[in-house]
Amino acid sequence: MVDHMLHDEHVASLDIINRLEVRIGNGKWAKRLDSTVPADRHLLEQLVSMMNSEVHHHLPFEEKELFPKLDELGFEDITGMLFDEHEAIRSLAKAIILAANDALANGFNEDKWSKFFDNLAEMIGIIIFHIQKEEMGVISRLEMLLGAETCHEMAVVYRSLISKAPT
Amino acid sequence: MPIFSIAEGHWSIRVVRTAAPPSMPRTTKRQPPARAVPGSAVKLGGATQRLLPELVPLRFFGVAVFAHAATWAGILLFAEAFPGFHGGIGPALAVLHVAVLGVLLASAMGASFQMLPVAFALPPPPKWICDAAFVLLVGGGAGLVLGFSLTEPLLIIGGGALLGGAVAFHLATVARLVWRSGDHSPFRWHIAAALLAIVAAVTLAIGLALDFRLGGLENHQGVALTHFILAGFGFMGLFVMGFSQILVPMFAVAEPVGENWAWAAFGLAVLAIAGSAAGALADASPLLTAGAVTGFCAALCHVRQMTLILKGRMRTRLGQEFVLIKTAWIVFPLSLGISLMISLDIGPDTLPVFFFFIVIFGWYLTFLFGVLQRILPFLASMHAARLGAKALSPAKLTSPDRLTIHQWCHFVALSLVGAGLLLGNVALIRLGALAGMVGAISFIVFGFEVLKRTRAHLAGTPT
Repeated sequence: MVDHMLHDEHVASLDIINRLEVRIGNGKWAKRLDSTVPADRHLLEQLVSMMNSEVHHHLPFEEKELFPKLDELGFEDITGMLFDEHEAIRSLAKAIILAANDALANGFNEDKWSKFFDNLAEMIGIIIFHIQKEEMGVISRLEMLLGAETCHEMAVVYRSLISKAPT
Repeated sequence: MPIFSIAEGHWSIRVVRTAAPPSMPRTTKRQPPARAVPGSAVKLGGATQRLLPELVPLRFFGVAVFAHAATWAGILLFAEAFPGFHGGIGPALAVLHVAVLGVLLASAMGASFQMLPVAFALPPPPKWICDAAFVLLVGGGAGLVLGFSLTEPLLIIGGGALLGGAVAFHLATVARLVWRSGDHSPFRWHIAAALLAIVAAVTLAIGLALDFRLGGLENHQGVALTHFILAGFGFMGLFVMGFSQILVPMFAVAEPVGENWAWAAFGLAVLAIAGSAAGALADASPLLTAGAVTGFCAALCHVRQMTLILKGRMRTRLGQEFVLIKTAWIVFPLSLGISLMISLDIGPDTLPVFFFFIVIFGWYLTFLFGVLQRILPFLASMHAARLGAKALSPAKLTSPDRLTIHQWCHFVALSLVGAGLLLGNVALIRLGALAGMVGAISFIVFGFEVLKRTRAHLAGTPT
């Protein structure tokens, strides 16, 4: 079922966010990630992977397959809002992926870390807000809204989209 | 090839993600809805907006925030009226009604009008209904509070009539939303039972108001206590327990697990409210005792469900609001333990007034301001998005320092006023009320900063 797939991806994203928040901390006590430390390096790689997955699978699938169906049910206001958040996530993801890849190769200096941290903090705020709305307003009731058969068909489409992606 | 997989923590999930295809096109323009949905289980055609104009919830929450400050100011001014208060017209009753009507009922109305359509995926009520409910609430509330302060029965009756109108609009709207929701979760039943309780509470309130003028009600104090049980625990209690089913999972990014605990809490709460109300009306202590015990069990079941929801949350870090919300979860069963002591005639004579205080300020206000501090930036951000601004994290609208001041002042106020009421010490009550007022002002500043930052964000968004 597509609702479970999307929900699981939200959980996976939140898991990485949780670990980033625990590792980095917040505000003026934020601790810089060190790409020479294996655990930090792994976290950065996972962040890049998550962002790529968001930008290339999760968001386009929702926009092309899910939102039009919800619009048919009169959810234009909700999907419009979610779409705008997708745009913000894309823009931040691009900067975060670039910075994280650069850090994986060359490490962070003070300036790069500061920009990366600001973008990451904004991204986390928007993603959490986005997931809250999607989970509460859409995912939790998707089967009721679209019917089990449509949810199953969409899951097949989504799996196909993911499997076509190069590894 | 899997890039990463997760099979840890309480979610016990395994998600495998693959690297993204670099060639996949990016969607930059929203595509219009193109086709019908075959096999769709629900049709919601025409439900194009679930958000009311921002002014509607803002007015209700604005009244709540200012009435909060007015409540503490009232306690500060009329502190000597509180020790030994056992009901009856006067400043103490007036101040309690500022809290109950101005803060709690206004927030309940604002939340119902705005949050229920979102929660049930239904169109919001027409704006004129919200406007009418607001005008009647403010006018009626002011009349009633003035009537209590000045001991003027006609003002009490007039204010009560207007408030009855506000509740009728609210009731009809919420009942319609609940009925149309098709939802069978505990949330729906909590709200439905809360509506029944408010009908009974308002009916008794009208009787009490008329009795101030006409007399003839033999058991005025018993009816007043029944009114408090039905309005306080029946309406607000069930309303808060019901809304917790959607708000707490939303705040903590968690699944609404533990539904059996919610049903148990609901069943026990309804029994407790019915039993206690009958006990108060018939002046039957055993019924009040049984009601307190059952209510205590209901509170424990509710808190158990809430802790299960938090335990299964997806996000580790909890927001600042959970300091207040968790405190309210401790005070909720505690307040019912105190009601049990009163029904068994254990404890000092000052315990009843302490009980009123701990229920209204310790349980409801603590919970409510935990919710409001999260909901205000959340709604502001959604409204900004609706007005075409680029996506904005609610965290960017929040000023944590103001909230920290409010939280600590609230705790100091609860401790000092509570101790003052128990000991009959007016100075302690005044000191606590002063702390509460400082906290309330800090919360007002927080609210204005949310508005200011939202407006600045809107102004900075190119059109």
